[in-house]
Amino acid sequence: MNDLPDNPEIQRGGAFPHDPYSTNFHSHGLNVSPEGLLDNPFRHMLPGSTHDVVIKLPDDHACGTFWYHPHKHGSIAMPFFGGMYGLLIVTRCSDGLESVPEVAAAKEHVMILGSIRTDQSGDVPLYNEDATEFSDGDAGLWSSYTDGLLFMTNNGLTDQTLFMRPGEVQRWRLLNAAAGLNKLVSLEGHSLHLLANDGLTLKKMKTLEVEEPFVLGAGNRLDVLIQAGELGVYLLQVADPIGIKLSASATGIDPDTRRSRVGGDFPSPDYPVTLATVIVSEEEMSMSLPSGDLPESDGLPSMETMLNTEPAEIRNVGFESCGGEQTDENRLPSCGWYYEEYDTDYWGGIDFENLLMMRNEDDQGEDNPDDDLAMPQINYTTEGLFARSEPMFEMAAGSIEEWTVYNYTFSDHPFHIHTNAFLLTEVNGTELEIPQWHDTVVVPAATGVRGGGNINDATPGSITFKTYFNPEYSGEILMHCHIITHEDIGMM
Amino acid sequence: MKRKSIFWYAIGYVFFSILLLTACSDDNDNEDIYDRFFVEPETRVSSDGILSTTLTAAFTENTITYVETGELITVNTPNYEGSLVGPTLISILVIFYPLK
Ligand SMILES: [Cu+2]
Repeated sequence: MNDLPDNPEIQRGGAFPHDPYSTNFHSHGLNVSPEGLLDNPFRHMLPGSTHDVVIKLPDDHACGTFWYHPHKHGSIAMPFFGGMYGLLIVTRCSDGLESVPEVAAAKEHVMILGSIRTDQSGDVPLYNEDATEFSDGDAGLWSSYTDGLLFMTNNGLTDQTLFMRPGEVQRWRLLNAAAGLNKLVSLEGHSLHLLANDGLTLKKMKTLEVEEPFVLGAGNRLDVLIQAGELGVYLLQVADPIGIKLSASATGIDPDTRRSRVGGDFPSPDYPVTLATVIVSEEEMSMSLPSGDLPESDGLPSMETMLNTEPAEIRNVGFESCGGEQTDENRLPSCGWYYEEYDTDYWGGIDFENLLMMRNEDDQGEDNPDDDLAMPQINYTTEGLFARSEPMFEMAAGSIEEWTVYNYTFSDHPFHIHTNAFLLTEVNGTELEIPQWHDTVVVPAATGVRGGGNINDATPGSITFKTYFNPEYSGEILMHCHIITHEDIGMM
Repeated sequence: MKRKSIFWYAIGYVFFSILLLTACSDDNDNEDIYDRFFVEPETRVSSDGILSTTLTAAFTENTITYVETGELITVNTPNYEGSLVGPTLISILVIFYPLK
């Protein structure tokens, strides 16, 4: 039921964010149809209206940690600022993680890590209808949030306390529900024992070093076991992404320290941020951690099938960014052409300088005779910003394909695709020791040149995966950056 | 593996679903005292393979500690069910799961 206020009568129009109080319902990670009353992100639920969402889970759906949130294009960010999301747990499959005795014995806690964002008076105001750029500066889309408040929440609170007994093993279901902030999560004095990414089990439990943070990208879930150490007080924290040397990521491959992880939410929090105070007290418990293989998630082809099947298609996608502090010399060759395409009319009568794009990288355009990157002679044929009428790819139902997503920007962008999870095989061209299922993965920023340098001289970050398009759930499938503020302006 | 074949999440039909909700609500009684400190979202659990519930999206006020100053701040935000985090919807796939 949508009880949000009426949409403003006069709106800027074009592709600019619009209908801020319309909504709909996305079941993030569920392997169900993207059409009809199911996981359909194209529905438009107006303020004052009530709608059914009916989702039938298949008999063999994976057990795990999924979530729900609105997905009305052009109006997703504000509900995220307000905490409008929740967890979807599919549980008690006889062959799920619960069949592992050590996991079944562990007490469970849900931790929804939000980033509530308001103006100075605690309100969630509208974006700036006259914005000419993506920022929280005066001319920015988010100018109404300048000097605003950011609450880094755990289940809606900023001051949580959790008790454990020495030796106790608990299962925590973490969700990063931030509109854009990737979070480096760690627990003082303890290791994270990783069980599942995005609700889908790892082949084997993976134990990080003591206090080694895990990069939980916006939209990611992590099922993790914690075994409490000695009596004491330990903080569950989000670490400062600046200056941290770590190999931790969903994949274990991520050698670079990057300022870029800060991007996407304004303002940045004061790191480290405490998500919970964990107090280990009382008498000791004798519990153990699992060893050996974890059960494979249901509802997906086996890892062997995925890896041994020749891909029906190989496709390349790029996250690209035009605008900001770029000059004619240091921007991507695509920018010139796309600036012509996305002009004043496109943005509803006012120029908008930041193009945050998701592009078909197999569309190479035509040569630029001048070698001048600012000139629009390079004629790309596909859209860079979201256009429902022009799908980027058409995949055959039932096929297995291999995709690489490149990041031609100096900040991280989490890639998410609806309906079907994918088997991640490479990050930055390095093969994973054991591939992992995901529905959302941070595509690392470009490296080799410092941010603000010439992106054309940098090495793009990349992820490579194989994916199976389950023919039961064909239809229009969205993919986008899970920094919601990027998605709302077309990075989809 | 035997599984229930129909599992639904239904959001909508306010009057109808409120009735069902009472039957579906989960309460974690007999948890030990330590669990009361850690606050988790409300849970709504499927029963006989069906979870029928209503989510209302609206602006509501909540109070929250701003850790930088320690102040309790009232925020007015869009959310589900009046809370800064929506209810956890739980679908139980297998009814006869061996209990711990
Ligand atoms: Cu992005």
